[in-house]
Amino acid sequence: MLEIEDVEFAYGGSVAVAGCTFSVEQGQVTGLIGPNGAGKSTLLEIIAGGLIPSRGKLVFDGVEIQGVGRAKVAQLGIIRTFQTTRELSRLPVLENVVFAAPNQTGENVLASLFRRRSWAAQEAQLRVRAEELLEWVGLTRLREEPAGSLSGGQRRLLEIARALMAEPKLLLLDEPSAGVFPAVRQLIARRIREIVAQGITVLVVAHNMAFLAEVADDVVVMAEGRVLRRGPLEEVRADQAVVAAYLGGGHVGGTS
Amino acid sequence: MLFFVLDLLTLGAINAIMAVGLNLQYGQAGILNFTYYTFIAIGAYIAAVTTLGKPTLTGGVEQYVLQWRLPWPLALLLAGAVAGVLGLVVVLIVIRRLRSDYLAIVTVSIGFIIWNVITNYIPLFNGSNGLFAVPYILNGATVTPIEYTLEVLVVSVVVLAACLWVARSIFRSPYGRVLRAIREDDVVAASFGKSTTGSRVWVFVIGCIMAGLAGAMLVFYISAWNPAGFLPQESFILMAAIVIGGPGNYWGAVLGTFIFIELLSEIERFLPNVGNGAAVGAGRAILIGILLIAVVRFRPDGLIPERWLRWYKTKGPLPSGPASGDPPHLVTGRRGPHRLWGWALSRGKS
Repeated sequence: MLEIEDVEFAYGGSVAVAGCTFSVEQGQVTGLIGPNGAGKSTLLEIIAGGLIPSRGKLVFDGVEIQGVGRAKVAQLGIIRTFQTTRELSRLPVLENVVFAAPNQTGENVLASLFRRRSWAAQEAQLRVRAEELLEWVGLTRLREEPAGSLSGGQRRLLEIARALMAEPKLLLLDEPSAGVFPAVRQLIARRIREIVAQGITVLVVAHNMAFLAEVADDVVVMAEGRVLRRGPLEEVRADQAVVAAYLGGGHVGGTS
Repeated sequence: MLFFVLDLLTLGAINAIMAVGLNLQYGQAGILNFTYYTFIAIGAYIAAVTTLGKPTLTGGVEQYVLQWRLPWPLALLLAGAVAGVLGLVVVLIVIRRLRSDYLAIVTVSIGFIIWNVITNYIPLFNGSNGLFAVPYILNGATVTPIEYTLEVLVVSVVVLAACLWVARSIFRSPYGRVLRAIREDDVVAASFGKSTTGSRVWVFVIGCIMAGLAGAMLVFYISAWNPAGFLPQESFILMAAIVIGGPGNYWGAVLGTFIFIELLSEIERFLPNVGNGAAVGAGRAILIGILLIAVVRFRPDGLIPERWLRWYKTKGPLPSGPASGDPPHLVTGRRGPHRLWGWALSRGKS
């Protein structure tokens, strides 16, 4: 579904992604792991259109998407959540979700002023859908609160609801379980499995192995901007090269 | 006394038109436009030169372009249109590459450029002497000042109502939602496929059209205009009125105008007379500063916060059970720094 081919990116002189190649398979949850500084978040930002790679290609459903910009990537069906949650803090929770819906006819300035009828029906449907999604992540009671007043875990859930409202084909989740109460983490894991069951492909960056064991079909390990290993989580966890990369030692077994 | 009240109401209505337009730009879309008063001035100048006709003073003392004698409604619309076109040019210059503070600085510079061009290029709008004796609208020639004030008040209120309707329509539409999303976080808005540039361009133009209309009404009322009337700091006073009233809330813009511009411009009458007029003026400036600081400190969302406007109807009442991730002891009660204003909040939400 998404082919990442030899992608390279450097922040000034420091190379963050150095020739990374792998593919995200349709209908699966692909986990992306690696030690800090491995280039995971940079790669996600490149896929989302926020950074332009200096080399390499990204092919999504047969379309090259490197350098087309965030909005275009989103319109093609790649929707992301953020590592530090970015809710629209002064807007009500419900509005945070409704806003994300694609192809809203009322987003045109003339339609908003003079052709209310052309979007009123769609708007009503979107609100029903948004309420369903809020129910699904358990935030219905908070739907009228400003999103900035939610707790960390609730913000993660809100971001997932918002991303689904956008009807994604490929969902990029950047550490959806970071800093979250264990019960909420389990809820998030369950919801991710339900998302995949609906046929949506997921690429998830995470550090928590228990969480990944629950959600990921397949794991890609990155280190120093490259793909180190790929395979089922249990397999790569046992791999000596992966262990070495995490512990930072130059040789098998580590130095500790 | 009646004249005084009518005069206040008329100026208030005209200032409210300005505030509603600026509030669309700043409150809804988060564009810091510090040259808003330039667009008001352009509206005023255009309305003046399209209704004045030939100069009455001979010998080239008075110089200005166009010298048309159009009916006033046409001049009013033209003023809005020209301000809108100028707004389009300005916004296309600033919006693509610049964000928030940088954009604000560039708008200030553009304001200074336009101000200097108008002041120094005399054939345009008669330079620093400005334009005067702009004809009264309606049957202005035969009425008393009080009647004329009433006439302008009625027209201004009609224009204000139209602007409020536009602001309300935008607020309640998905378009307004996109603007608010961009204001909160433009990266998020782009990450959901929204056009962050296009949306802001049009709201900026609409705000400038309102500025042009307000400028035209102002020049119809006071019948003279010169560069001293639109010093760049005027934009800051309007901005302050919006911050006090409630950014994002169109009623807040109206309220802020009446409190901040109307009430405080008249407060000098009620201040004790200490020594000289300059001291009283300084007292007014101090009061304005204190009020602004107090609002920003204790009521950062303004007197009528944006969230009091309800654009959506939800399906059924709120359920009472806990939400995901609620710690058990926190399932009720509203969070946020608004304890003091809880009563007002509950009134606003009902």
